[in-house]
Amino acid sequence: MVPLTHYLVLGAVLFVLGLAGIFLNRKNVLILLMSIELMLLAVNTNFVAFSHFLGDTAGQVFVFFVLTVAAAESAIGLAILVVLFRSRHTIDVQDLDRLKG
Amino acid sequence: MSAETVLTALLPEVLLLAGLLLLIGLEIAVPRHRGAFAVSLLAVAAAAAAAAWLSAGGSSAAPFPGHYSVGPDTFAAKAVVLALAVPVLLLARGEFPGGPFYPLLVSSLLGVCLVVSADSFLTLFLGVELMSIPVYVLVVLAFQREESAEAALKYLVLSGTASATFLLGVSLLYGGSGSLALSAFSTALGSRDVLATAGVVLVLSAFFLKAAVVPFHTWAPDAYEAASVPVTAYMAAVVKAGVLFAVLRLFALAPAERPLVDLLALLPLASMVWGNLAAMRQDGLRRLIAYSSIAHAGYLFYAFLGDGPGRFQAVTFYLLAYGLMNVLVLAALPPAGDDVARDRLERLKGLFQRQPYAAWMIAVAMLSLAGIPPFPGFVAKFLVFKNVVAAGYPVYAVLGLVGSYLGLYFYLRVIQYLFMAPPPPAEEASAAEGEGAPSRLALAATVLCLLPAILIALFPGWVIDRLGG
Repeated sequence: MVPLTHYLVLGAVLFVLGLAGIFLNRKNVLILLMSIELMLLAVNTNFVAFSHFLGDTAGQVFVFFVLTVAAAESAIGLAILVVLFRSRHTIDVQDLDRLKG
Repeated sequence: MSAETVLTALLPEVLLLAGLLLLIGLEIAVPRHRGAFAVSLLAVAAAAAAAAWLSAGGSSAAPFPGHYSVGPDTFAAKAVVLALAVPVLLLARGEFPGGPFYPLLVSSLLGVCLVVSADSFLTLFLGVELMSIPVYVLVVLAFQREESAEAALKYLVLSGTASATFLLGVSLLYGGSGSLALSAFSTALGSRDVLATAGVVLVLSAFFLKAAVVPFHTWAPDAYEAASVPVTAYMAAVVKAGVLFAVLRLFALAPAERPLVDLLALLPLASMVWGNLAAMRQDGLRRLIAYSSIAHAGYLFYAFLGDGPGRFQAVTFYLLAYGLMNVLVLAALPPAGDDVARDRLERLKGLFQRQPYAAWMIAVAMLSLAGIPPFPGFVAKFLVFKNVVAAGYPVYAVLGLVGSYLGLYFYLRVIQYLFMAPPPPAEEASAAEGEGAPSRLALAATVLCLLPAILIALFPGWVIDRLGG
């Protein structure tokens, strides 16, 4: 049987990979959206693991809601990406510098 | 619990949902209809009135025990948020004659109402997402500028990161306590467990990001600048209020304990100082509002240093005063030929000679945002800093006051532009060109912001009592 800590370490590693994907990525906006998905899936691993080891189903129910919201978010993200591509003809992160932040 | 009590407890949400369904139905059934503005205005105003009425009646209930509960204070909070949305809708009429703007705005408001009543992390998560996902689209919707899509994408990515961080924190709190109840957060505040502390810090930093507290603020100036005027007003007044109410629900009455106090004081302090300093070098009004809102997020999070009951009153009062003034500035801003020109601070030079009413409105809002005494912003700031001192952190209070007076410079600079600076002769023609008087609905919006502001400036005690707590 795999102990709880292994799942938590896996979740943490996936989450940090996602975070690194957002802040180190210099190439492509699609990768940003994929990184967000990766972070949410890392969280889902945590929830399922805790739910299993606590013997409580609430955590698994939460995962369904997270998946649904993540789908809505990436749908909107992709739609905005299409609008962006139409006006700029590029989806490179480096070219997104019209605003100073 | 009978269906009637459930429906009464959910009345504001039911009205919003009915409006939303009607809007979507209209959109499908009647192509190019003109009713969207009227339907959404009616739904939001009715929901606000229902919330105010239920709050005055002092009713409380838990229609979904453990997930969703209402009381006089949550009804008051909903009334404040929904009332702030009414002038925003009036502003939007000119820019969005129909289309997807209205259903998106109403569903975002529904999300805010969910947040205010949330009792479990599940409801809170759904509420926060329902509140923010439509706003990504609202930012890109006007699409008068090329930058809109870029700003919306930045906002979406950073806000999505915040959601993931929030969920990671929630999963750790869930693992530690075995329940999804919001009380897991306030219990974890006092615990020395590593997992619980990590959960609290992750959840807090997620909300710092959503509220644009330094160092997580970079999305705000871009999104505020690229969005159209009513959407900027909505983000500054309503979305910020929703995020702060979520944090209020999380903390409930729990006091902030030692290691956390420094996090809760230092980042907001940095936010006040940086927000006020960066606002000085802006030449666009909306970027100025954005940096001022970053500073105001600092003052709002300062309120959490104070103890439980005073905290709710201070934050709700602050959000009301600050939201009204932000909407007032944007409502009084005279229209111009194109969106970029409308935004330039230079255009405000000598506005007093051309449009005295608009100039006075912007001046009142700026003085109130700066926290100058007779205006409502002063009472709001006073409440926050009084609570910080009462909780025993006089050093943080003094530092915060110093930080807040850095802001005087740029607020007063706008006033100097309005009243003292003559417009440069070369630009006079181009400034006057395309500058119409504000539309009748924008004037109505300024009146709707000004009357409650006068009320809370004259009778702050009465309003604070009404806000419960």
